[in-house]
Amino acid sequence: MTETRTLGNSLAELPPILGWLEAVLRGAGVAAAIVGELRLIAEEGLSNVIRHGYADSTRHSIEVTLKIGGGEVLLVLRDDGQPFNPLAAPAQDPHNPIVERAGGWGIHLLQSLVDRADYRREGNANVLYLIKRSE
Amino acid sequence: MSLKIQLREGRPLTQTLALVGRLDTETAPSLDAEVERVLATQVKVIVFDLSGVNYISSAGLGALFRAQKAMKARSGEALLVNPQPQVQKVFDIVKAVDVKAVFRDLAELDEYLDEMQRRVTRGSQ
Repeated sequence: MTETRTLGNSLAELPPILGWLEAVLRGAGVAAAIVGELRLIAEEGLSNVIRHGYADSTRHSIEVTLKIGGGEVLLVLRDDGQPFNPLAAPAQDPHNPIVERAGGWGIHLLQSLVDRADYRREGNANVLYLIKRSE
Repeated sequence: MSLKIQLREGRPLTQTLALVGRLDTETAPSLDAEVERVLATQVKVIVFDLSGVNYISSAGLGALFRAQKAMKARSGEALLVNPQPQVQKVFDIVKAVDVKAVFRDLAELDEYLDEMQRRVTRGSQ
């Protein structure tokens, strides 16, 4: 089963998308603890793109795709922001104030909570494939 | 809004903020604002009761981290009590909050605050 939603690059659009994601996962029978961690992975990935991904101030679309099946959940985040691979960002000292401001905690959380992940630059888009076992 | 913040007073110069809901990108600003209000008073210890928090993200961690920094700057403390397993897991991964300030339950916290009070009393004699 695959579902897709789109949001703009505004933090105000984040809560409804996360609510949608949670509802789809619960509806598919994914355990509450896994649903919570997937919500967290999505929040960190999306808020990082919204806060740091764009050099201009125009409106952009970010696409969120959920694919559930085979004992796994695949979450795909696609944005047309500046090239950035969050999976290559090094684990850093959490008490460095620059790391805090640059969203380093969130990226570290995202990296730690997924089971597998892949990043590709496809055309002018960053595409982040995040996989978590659901069983 | 998916975070409720309840202010409780107990010991002198101590304010407890009982949080219920999610501590995330959406709600962290409201916690920052509440902490600002508390910081405007003569507070020495802020306790965050996390028993009702079922979700925390890096934005929520940021709010707790800022409160700890602000309290340290005035030689006070911001303590965390009762983190649920999923919240403790985030504390363990990011290590942003001071682990010495996290207490498993109210009994453990009370013991610490009693000891602190004894030290203060002894120091003023």
